[in-house]
Amino acid sequence: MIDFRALEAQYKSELLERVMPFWMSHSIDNECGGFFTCLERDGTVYDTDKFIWLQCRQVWMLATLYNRVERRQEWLDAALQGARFLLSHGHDGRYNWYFSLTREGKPLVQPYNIFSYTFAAIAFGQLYKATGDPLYATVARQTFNLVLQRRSSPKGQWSKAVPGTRPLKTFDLPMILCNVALELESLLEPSFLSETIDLCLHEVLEVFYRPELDLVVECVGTDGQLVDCHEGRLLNPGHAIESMWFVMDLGSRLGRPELISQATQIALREVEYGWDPVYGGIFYFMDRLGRPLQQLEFDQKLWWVHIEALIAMIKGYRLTGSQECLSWFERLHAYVWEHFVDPQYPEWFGYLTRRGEPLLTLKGGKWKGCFHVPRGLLQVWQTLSAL
Amino acid sequence: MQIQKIEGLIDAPFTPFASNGDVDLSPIPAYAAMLAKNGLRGVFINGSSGEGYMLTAEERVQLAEAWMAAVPRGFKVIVHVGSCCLRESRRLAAHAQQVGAWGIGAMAPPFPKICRLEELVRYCEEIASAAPSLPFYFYHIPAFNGAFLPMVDFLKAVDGRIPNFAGIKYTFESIYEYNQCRLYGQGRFDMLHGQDETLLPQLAMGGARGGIGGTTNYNGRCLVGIMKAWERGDLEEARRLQNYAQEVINVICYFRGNIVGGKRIMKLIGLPLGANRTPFQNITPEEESRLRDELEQIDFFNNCNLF
Repeated sequence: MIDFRALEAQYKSELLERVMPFWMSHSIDNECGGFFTCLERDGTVYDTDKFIWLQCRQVWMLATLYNRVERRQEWLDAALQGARFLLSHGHDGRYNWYFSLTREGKPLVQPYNIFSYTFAAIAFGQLYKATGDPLYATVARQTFNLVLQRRSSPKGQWSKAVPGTRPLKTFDLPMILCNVALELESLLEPSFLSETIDLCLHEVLEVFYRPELDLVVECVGTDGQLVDCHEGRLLNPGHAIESMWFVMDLGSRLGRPELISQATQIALREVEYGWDPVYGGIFYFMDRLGRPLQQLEFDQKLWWVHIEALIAMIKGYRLTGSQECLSWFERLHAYVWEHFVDPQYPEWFGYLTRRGEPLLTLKGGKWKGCFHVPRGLLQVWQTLSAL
Repeated sequence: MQIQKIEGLIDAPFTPFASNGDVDLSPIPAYAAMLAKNGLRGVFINGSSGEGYMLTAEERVQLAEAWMAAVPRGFKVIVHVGSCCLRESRRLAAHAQQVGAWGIGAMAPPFPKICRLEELVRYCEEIASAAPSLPFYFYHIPAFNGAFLPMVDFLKAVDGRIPNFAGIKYTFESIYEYNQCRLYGQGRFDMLHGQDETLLPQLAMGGARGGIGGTTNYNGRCLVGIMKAWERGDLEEARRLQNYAQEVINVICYFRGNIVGGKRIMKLIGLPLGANRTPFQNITPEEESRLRDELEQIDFFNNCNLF
C-alpha cells in the first residue's frame, strides 16, 4: 500500500526546504537584476549570461508559488526584480523578446525564439495575478498577441528553411499554447480563449497524435501528413507526456472527461514506449522507424522528461483511477530519486548518461533553470494532497 | 504663486475605451511607463486628444486617479478640467488638487463660443480659484473652439488677477504672438509649445523650454530628440527630426488627425486603446491597413515610441 501522505510530505519538503532555497540563495543577481541560471552543483555561478526562457520561467515560478502556496514576500520581491529586469532589457521596445542577454542586460541573441514570448506571457500573467498591477496584464496580453500573430511562421525572418520545398510544422507550439491559454485565462476574452484552446487541442490530439502509430510525433507536413525525413521521424516522449498533462488540466477545466481519458491513455503509451528496457529511464529522442538519430544526445536521460512523466502519471491516476498510472508513478519515483536527486547538494542533476550516471553535474545552465524541478514538485505535491 | 516652468515635453494621452465603449483604465500603467521610457516628462490628461469633452465628469475623475496611481515619481500629471459647464470644471479642478495633480488646465469652452477677453478671463478665474494651490494653464486652441483672442492682451488681463495663473499651452500658428507672450513681463509666464509640427522654430527664438505634444504618444522619441539635438547645438539633427515629425503628421492628416488617426496608431505600435466616441468617425479596417502601409513607407515603425 502506498503511503500518499508520506510522499506528499517528501515532495513538499523537497520543494520548500531544498530546491527553492537553492535558487533563492544562488540565482538572484542583486547588482544587475534578473537571475543567474548557470549554476554548478553547489550553486557556484559559472556563467553570467541571461537566457530569456529561464528569466521568464523563474519569474513565473516565484509568482506561482506566491499565488498558490503562500504569500511569501521574498518570492514576490524576487519575481518583481526579475520582471523589472525583463521589462527594461528583455525585449526590443515592442515586446519582441530576445533570446539571451549579457549579465547587464545588453541583447546578445535576436528574438528568433517564439518560446521566449510564451514564457514571458505566462510570467507576466502570473505576476498580474500576484499584484493586480495592470501593467503586467498589458505586457502579457501584448506578448500573447504577438505569439498568435507568429503562429503560422514561428521563426519568421530567422527561419533557415527554403520556403515551399518541404514545409513542416512542429508540435512544440500548439503544445505550449495549451498551457499558456489556461495560464492567461483571466486576461483573455472568453470566446477568443475557447477558440484558441479548440485549435490547440485539435493540433495536439488530431494532427500530431497519430492513431496509426499510437504516438505523438514532433513534426508533420503543413498538410498534416507524416513525412519520412529526420524531423518527420522524430519522437520526443518527454514533450508528448508533458503535453498530455496540459490536456488533462484543460479537460478538468472544461469539464470534458473524454479529453482526460484520451490524454491519460496517450501519456501511458508514451511512457511505456520511451522507457529504456535495459537501464531504465525515458529516452530523450527516438526515431519512429528505428532509424539512426541525428541528435547525439538521444539516449541521455533528462531531468524534465522524468519530472513531466511523474506529473502526468500522478494526475492520470487521480483523474481516472488508472492503476497502470500509479505503478508507473512508483517506478518513475524510484528512478528519479535514485538518479536525479543529488545526495550532497540541493537541486537535481539535469543530464544523465543512458546508464543513469550524471553526465554533467550542473544544477542550471542555458536550458535548465528554476522551472521544471520546482514546478514538478509543486504539481506532484498538490496532486498527491488531493488523493 | 511662484511659477515653476516646465522643461521638456508633456504628452496629451488618448483615453482608452473598452469594446463596449466604457473607459478602460487597465492600459494606463503600461501607457505611463512607455511615455516615461521615451523621454516624456508628464501627461496632460482629459484634453482634446483624450476626448475630454466626451467623458462624463465621473470618468474624468477616475482617469485622473488612474493616471496619478500609474505615473513614475517626478512625472507630471496635469488635468484638463475645461467643460461647457463651469461648475463641473470647478469640481474637477478641486478633485485634481485633492489627488495631488501637478497642475490643471482648461481651454475655452466650445459652447458658448467666447468672443471677448473679459469672458475668457472670468471663465479661467473661476476655474483656477477652485484649485488655488495648483498652477493653472490656459489651453489656447482656437481652431477647436473659435476663441481667436489676442493672447498678449489676455496675459495682461490675468496678470495680478488670477494668482495661480502659470501660462498658456499655445496651440496656434502665430510664432510672432507666441514669442510676444513669452517676452511679456520679462518672461514671467510659462509658454508651453503646443504644435508638434513647429517645435524647432520656437526653440530657435529662445522659448519653448517646455511643450505639450499630441503626436508624442507614438512619435515621442523623435520630438524629444528635437529638443535634445537643439540643446547640444546639433542643428542638422534637429532639422532632420523636425522634418520627420512633419512627415508623420502628413500621414495622420489623411486619417482625420491625431485624435482619430493617431489613436489608431497606438494600436499599430502595440498599445490598443479602443475606438473614439461618437460623433468621431472611427478608422475602418481598410483605413487601418492603409495607415499602416503609409507609416511603413516612412519607416515609422523603426522610429516610433518603444515600450
